[in-house]
Amino acid sequence: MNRRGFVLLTLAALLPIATGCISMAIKVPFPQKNRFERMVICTDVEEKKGLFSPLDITSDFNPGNERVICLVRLQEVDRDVQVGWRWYDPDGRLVRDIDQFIYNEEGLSTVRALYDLFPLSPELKAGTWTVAFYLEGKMAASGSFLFKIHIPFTFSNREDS
Amino acid sequence: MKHRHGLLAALLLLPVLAAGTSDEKPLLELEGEYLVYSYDFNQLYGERVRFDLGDLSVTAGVIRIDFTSRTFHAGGGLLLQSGEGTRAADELFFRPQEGTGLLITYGESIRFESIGDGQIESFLALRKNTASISLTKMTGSLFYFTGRKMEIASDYDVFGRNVTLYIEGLESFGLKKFKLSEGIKQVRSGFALDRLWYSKSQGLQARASYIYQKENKISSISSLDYEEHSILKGYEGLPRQVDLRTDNTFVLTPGVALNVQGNYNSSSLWDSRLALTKNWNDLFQLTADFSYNKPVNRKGEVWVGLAGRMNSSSWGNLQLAGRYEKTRQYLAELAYERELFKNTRLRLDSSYAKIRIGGSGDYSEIFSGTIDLAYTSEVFDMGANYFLNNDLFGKQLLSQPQLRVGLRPFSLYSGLLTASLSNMFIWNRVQLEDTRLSGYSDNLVFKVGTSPLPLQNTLSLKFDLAVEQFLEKEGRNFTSGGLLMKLQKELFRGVRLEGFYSYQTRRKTEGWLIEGTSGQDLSAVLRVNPTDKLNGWISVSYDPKTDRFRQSFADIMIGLIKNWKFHSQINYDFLLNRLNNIDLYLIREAGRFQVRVVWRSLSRQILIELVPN
Repeated sequence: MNRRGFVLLTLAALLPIATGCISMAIKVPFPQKNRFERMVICTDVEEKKGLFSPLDITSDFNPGNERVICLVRLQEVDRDVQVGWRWYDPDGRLVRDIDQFIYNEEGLSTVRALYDLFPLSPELKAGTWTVAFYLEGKMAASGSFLFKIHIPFTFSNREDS
Repeated sequence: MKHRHGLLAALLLLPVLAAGTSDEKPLLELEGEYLVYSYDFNQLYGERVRFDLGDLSVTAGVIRIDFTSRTFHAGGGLLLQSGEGTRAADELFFRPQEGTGLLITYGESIRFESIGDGQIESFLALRKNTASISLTKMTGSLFYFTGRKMEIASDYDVFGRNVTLYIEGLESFGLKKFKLSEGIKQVRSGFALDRLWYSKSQGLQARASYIYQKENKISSISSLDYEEHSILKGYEGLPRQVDLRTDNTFVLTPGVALNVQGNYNSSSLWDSRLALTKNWNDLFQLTADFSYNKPVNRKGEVWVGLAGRMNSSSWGNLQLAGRYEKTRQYLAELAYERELFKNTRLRLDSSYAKIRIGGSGDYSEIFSGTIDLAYTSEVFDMGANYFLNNDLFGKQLLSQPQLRVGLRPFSLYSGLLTASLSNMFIWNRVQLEDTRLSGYSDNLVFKVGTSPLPLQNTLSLKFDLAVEQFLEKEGRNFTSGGLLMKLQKELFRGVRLEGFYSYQTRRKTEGWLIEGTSGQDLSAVLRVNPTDKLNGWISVSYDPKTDRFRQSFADIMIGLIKNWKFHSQINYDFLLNRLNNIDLYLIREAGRFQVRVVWRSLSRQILIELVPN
């Protein structure tokens, strides 16, 4: 590249700064701590490196499933916090309300994964169930799952009948 | 030459004309303690946010927006202020364009309250679109912006004021006001540089596109492909090539749309099309079009056409189209489909074409048609089909009736075995000017397979068997058979060994003579997937008949830091005793696109690609 090209390129690169489009003086905001990150609904959990992880994430359940697990993950937990789960049936009625306290005695900023489980049985009402998760008294997330009671059709069981 | 440049200019101007003027008033103005917009995922996450929705002033602990699905969700302790006072709620799904929403409060029961004419079910269906939005996901993006003020325009473009750009998690620089969502194809409007690469064999290649969309008014897509070959030594083709395509639809009034298409290639090939479409309640559609095609080294063609479509659940679907070219070329098409009775469908289609043969004065003239009647049930399928092709110029008539019947796959012994049976009979009749030929063939196929049979805790075996009998009038009859055995053993968690043995045979019987071929293959595949960071397989195949190894393939993916991964595909040929191909990829997954650095051994190329997901 010749000198003229280099000067033009440098001027072009400096133009956005000179016109104020690009600035190095903009203050960067920071997110809050003790933050909700994610909720998943699954059939089971496993522990990996001291944290619970979901197994078989799904939103379809039937009486063959023993339970529904609502797993949540919190970020940068640096103090004691209160969490809670509320489970609602397909008619929107509260059927389970549970609170937990997370203690952080060392005051370190850590990731936490917590869960609550809801036992399933064939007597439960079929339809869309809802679970709401609370962090420090405020609703942080909600999720839903479908509880179905059905007998799957196959050609062989049609023959048998 | 002059009119060609005029056409090029007109094509380039079309998208600009389509863009027109944009609305200045933002759809939503967000102010928050912390806002982050991910370019990769086209999503926004915000904390302690304030915004206005209609007459309501809303304060929310958290806001999550997915722009692709246009889902807006606020929560984390909501306060809504209006002239009537302040009230609290837990969740708000909303559509800022319509000023509608759904408020949800979780107490002893779930309470829903509509804002505007928001429907409960339609809003609840949106929940899954924002469920995965979190700060961790946003800040894991290749490109993201943070700030305290962001605006969403009426076309869902996102603008930030005093925002900071992060590239791969590193704070880069600040921007006073910036269009955050500008970018590649998936963005509803904007320029995109889709590809830019150089190779020794193809030279410099670039592809750019421009999209403009205004909901229910304008939809415009244009792309430009450029290839520069003059920088290559000894290249014998054209020094450079340009290919421009544009497709623009303007909604004139509800139900009436004008479509303008144009293609231009620097090798003197171009075409353009103007079409006017009128819809009546999605039941009828009528399209009138005018087009001009300029093939290479031939005269241009001027076509006019009229096409109609009727979609009716009770009367069926009917399509009619006719086109005329000024040098007496004709095209006509008819298609009809409907359900005659329960599970029985009728389909008819026919076409007539009178087309000039090359640059000569001769015309080909072909009439063809198909009638298809199909019955489907849980147990079996049956169908009859009649195909006719009449070459009026070459004086050849082909007619081909066929009959299909098949037993759908059915399971026996509680699903241990699955079997199916099908048969197809075809009768051919060819009538030439002074000759008639006819023939028939029948093909019967029987398949049976097992589900995996557990031999031990971690060992299973599966069989599949197929037998086929082919008969034809001339007596060249074939009997074919195939067997596939699959043995699967889990060695450790995430490590699986699979063995395959297949045997195929094809026997020809003609009178007392039997001849045929057979083939065998023995393969082993080792699959490795112990963690999310490592996924791969390696296979080797062996021919027991010739006692020789054949080929080996390997496909390995290793997760590196963040969303970077290394991927390699290797193929080794034992017969030629050499590595056939090695492809190496370094990939950065970035939501709606991938950045890939690729090395291909066959073409000896290094490519840098920006690939939309």
